Amino acid sequence: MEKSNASHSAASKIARMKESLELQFGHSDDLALYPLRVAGQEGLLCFLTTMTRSTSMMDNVVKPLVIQDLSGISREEDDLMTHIRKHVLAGLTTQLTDRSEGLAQKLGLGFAAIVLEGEPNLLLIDVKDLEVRAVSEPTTQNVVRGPKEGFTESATTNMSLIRRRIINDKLRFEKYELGEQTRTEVYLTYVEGEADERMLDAVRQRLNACSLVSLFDSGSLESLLSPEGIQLFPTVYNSERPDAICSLLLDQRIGVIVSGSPFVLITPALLHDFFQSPEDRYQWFVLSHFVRTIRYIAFFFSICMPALYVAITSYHQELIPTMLLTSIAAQREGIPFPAVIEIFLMELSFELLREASTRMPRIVGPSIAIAGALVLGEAAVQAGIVSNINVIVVSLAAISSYVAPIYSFASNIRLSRYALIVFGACLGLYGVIAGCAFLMIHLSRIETYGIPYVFSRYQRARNKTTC
Amino acid sequence: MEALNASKLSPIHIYTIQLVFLLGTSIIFGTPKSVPDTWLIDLISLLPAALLCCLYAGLVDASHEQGLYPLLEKAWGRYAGKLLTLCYALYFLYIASRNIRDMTELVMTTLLRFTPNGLPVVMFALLVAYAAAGGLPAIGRLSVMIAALVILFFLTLAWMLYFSQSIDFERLLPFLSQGFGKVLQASASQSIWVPYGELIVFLVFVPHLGAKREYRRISLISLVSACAILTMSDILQTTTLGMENIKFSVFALLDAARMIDIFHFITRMDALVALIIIFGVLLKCAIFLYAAVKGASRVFPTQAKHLHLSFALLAGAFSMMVSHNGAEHVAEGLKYVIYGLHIPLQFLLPLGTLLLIWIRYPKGER
Amino acid sequence: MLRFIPLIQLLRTLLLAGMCVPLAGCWDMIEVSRSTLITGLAIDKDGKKNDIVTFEVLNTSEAQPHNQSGGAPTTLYTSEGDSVADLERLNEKLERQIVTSHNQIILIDEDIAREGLSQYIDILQRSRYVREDVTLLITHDVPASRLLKVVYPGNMYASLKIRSQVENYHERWGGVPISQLFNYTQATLTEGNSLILGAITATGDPQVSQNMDSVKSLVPKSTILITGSAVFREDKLIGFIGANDTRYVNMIRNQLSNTSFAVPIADGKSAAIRYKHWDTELSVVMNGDVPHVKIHLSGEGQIASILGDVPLDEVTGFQQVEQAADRYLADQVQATVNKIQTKFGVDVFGFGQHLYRHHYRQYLPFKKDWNSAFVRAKVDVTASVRITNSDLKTSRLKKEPS
Repeated sequence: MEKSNASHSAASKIARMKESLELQFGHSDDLALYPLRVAGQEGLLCFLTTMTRSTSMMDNVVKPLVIQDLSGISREEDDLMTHIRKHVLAGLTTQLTDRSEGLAQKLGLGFAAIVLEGEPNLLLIDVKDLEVRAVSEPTTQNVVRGPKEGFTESATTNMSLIRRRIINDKLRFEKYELGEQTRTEVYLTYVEGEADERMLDAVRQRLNACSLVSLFDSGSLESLLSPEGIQLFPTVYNSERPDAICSLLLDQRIGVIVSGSPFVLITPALLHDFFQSPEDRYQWFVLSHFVRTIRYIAFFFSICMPALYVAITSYHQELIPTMLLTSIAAQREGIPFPAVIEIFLMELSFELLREASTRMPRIVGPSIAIAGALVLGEAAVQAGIVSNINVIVVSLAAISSYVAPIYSFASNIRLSRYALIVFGACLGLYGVIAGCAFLMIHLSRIETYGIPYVFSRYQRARNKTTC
Repeated sequence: MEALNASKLSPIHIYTIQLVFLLGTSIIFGTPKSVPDTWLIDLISLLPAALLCCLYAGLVDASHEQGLYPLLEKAWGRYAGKLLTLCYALYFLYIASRNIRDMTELVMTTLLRFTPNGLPVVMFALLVAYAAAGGLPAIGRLSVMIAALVILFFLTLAWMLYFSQSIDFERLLPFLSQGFGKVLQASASQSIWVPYGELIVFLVFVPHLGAKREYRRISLISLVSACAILTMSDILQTTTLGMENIKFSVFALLDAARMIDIFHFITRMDALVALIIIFGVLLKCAIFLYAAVKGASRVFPTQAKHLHLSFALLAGAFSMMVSHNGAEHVAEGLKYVIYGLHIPLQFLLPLGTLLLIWIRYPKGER
Repeated sequence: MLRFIPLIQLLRTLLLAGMCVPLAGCWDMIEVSRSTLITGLAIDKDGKKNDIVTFEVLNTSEAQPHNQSGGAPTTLYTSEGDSVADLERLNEKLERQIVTSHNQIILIDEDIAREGLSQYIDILQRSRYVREDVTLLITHDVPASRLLKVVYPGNMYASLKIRSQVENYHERWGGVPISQLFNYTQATLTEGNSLILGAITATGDPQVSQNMDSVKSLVPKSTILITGSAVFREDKLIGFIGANDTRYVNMIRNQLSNTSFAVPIADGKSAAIRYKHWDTELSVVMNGDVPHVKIHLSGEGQIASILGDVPLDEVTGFQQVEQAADRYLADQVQATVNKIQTKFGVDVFGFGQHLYRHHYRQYLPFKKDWNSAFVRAKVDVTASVRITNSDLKTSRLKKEPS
């Protein structure tokens, strides 16, 4: 009596489930609802074809279920579902549940569900098997010497890339699902005992409080992890390189891996981190120090160079050595624009060039290069619209700004250059100095989770490891 | 860890803040040129300055790590204490405005000419407010950068002067031509009060400075290093320009820097001097402003963060109104301010307070 | 929602900073392409009250070696006025803004120098635009402006040429003192030290040499000649001394690094010696009211040429030359000091300064009028020259006597 009742309800359950799933997914084409017979019982196998591959589905789930003879097993200890879990599908991530509410979501995450007539529980099997990009060389952070692996879009791959570098039972991954619509998997990673507990809590709190609708790349999370207010400098580090991330994790930082993004975030980031390339640790330390000094100088150049040029040539001719001044003056002879306008003109055209060469299809690349180098540079100088020295200054600043090992740092600081030019044009050197002083005060004021951006304890710990 | 005692400054930060604070304007203006052997004045002032520093350390001890303002109230009673607190706040604001004036004088003679005074002053006031509003730890970090820059630029200047063969140590002679008495007198009447006496502002920050013994040690170290650098600066000025010459220059280090000439190419390093003074004064003013705001917010029930901007602008405006011309500014600084403000507020009042504390609260009760 | 709060903050900050920008009127801005450099100044007198100031103004594009079109590298403008401070008034004639900070030389006519320099110097020292290292020269026999009216090959302009000429002459031979504004300052301020400045003149025809065509000639149509130095009492010119004496003055002041001498050795023959690493030790003490000056010259030399038969392949040969050189130098220096003492009576050597610095008490009684004491000074010169080598050859080339 009880059994027939159960079978009756199960039969209707299968139908009901089928109906509700079809309703929820709106007859979406990738929804697979296959009838199945296991141990003599009618059942239903449902999954999304887009989240798995049919071969792995066949090999891992269907074949064992169908081929193995389950009818004669003893049902003393376990019910059928538990038996299947333990004996047939052992080794796969499975889950038993009696609730069918979250089913649609589970399917979306790459689970397959098996419903059997006589069983009250649903069996959920993780069959996710997706096309992933193979691990390849990172495109934004190149090194000459050092590992050539880069993160990919798959969070699992990324976690594995980290795990295989830090063989340490204290390495933790915590899972979050962010984005109301996208339910993107986000993993918080840290080394237990290294990372500060309170800082971890703060990061967890922020992740839980996230109200993003969609999340496609870790870049969208950066502002969530940054301190409040406006920072001209990035306070969250990102990298495509597992070795860079791992060394920071061991350095008491907290990482955030976002599924779908090859850029792993690290917080809190310090100014110093953005001048450090992982390669610095793989080469002779004197050379690394030298290169790092060059990077700091380049940073200064990229921010101040055009502003200094404008300020000094149009306010403080007395500060330029005579021969240099006559040379500059001779070049500027007959140029229709004042130095400020000239600089802005060139900076703007460089920005255009940069943006165009980033966004354009690869195939038209050479034409942009020709237009940029020949038309803007050469011809503008030839026509006497801009002066040589101006082109030199702008290109020097542009080159310097890409010396920074982390691209996001380079692109953020580029903006303050324009403000400095305006200050330099209005008040000369005093304006530039005031602007630099502002940046210095700003730098010293930034704190992430109570950790100062400059001169903080991490840096010291870090240096020790470097040496 | 660090976040826990964020309000406590690390020893390095205390050191750099005090160092930059002491160098601030003095490195450019140098010691008053009343005696030919200016560098000696600097060296000798160290001793009374150290004693003054010990007096302040005594106050730190007496205040039970509470700071100058609560101490005043404790010693003088609630109302008189409040009044004195206000006095100090105004005093700090006034010194800040004098420093801004020093900076503007230099900027207007070296970097700008036709631009109206107000503009650089307002910009500077905004910067000072921004720096002060960041709080003491931020000022501490700023001071590390500024100390590095100031010392780097100063050493660069010295190095360049050496290479342009402008330095002639013969110019330090004759030694003690006017006798030792004059040197002592000059050091007692001026050098102690500016810059060393200005260290009194750090009493306000006692809660952030750590233990008394450590504070005294760090202050003494920073005193000695500041003294060494100031003496070096004076020697540099004298050996490049001659002791007869520096008497006539408004900004002696600037005039010295103008002598730099290496292969006729590395010349005209005026900008470095301007940088030194702008950064030095920036930090100095930020500290004074922070202290003044703290005092004002104690007397008037206002939140400190609302006061920074207005106080900074006030100091800026003050700096323009305080004197008509450079001569008046200098005369004020060397005469009236020293006797009217520095000596009472840097020495007499702290001494009185300390005595009063000892009398009112005998050893056991403290 | 996340993005809005920072945006408002950003706007607020920008507004605050932006308020400063329109306030700035770019008062101090000078465009290099709309301004011009003054590279040289010459101050003359027109016989009456007024000064005539000649400005050498640079045509930047012509002064560049690679983009000249055959025009003159500089243009001269004159203005008559009471003071150099009226510089900005030059726009009466000139179309561009004036940048004075790169002035290289200041030439002062000897007539003006005889009346005193101080009235012209203050404006120069006070301004941040003029450096203390600007070259200050006194013109001898010709008007100061005459020296600027010469063009040179390679589009070199007069002031640059003169400056580099003076510097190289001082550096290589020592025939002219270091002659900068700073020397004026030092001589004025320090005790027991009289001013000497470089003296300069020009030869040739000014009418021809100021024409651009004169550059095309192989033989210079006009030459600038450094004659030695001008001696001052206080700030007034009292006379000139020649290049040779100037060299000894430089030597005593320890401002000579390299030079060369023809030292007479036996039989009226001479040896030319090239000196380097020159060093002078001075000691001055008062003996009653007579200053006793001891000068010790030391240096290294190299034989540049030798005419007599000195065995330079042996030690004695070197010693022979060294002794001759020592004697010769001591005599020459002694003679120069005596000449200055008797002819000018001012302490251009800085003996007084040395006394002031090292024996302050002894100097004090003579502080008022050191030069009168200087005239009485007894000078004792010794020299020790070390001949280090004889270059590529040993003795003079000649046939071995068989």
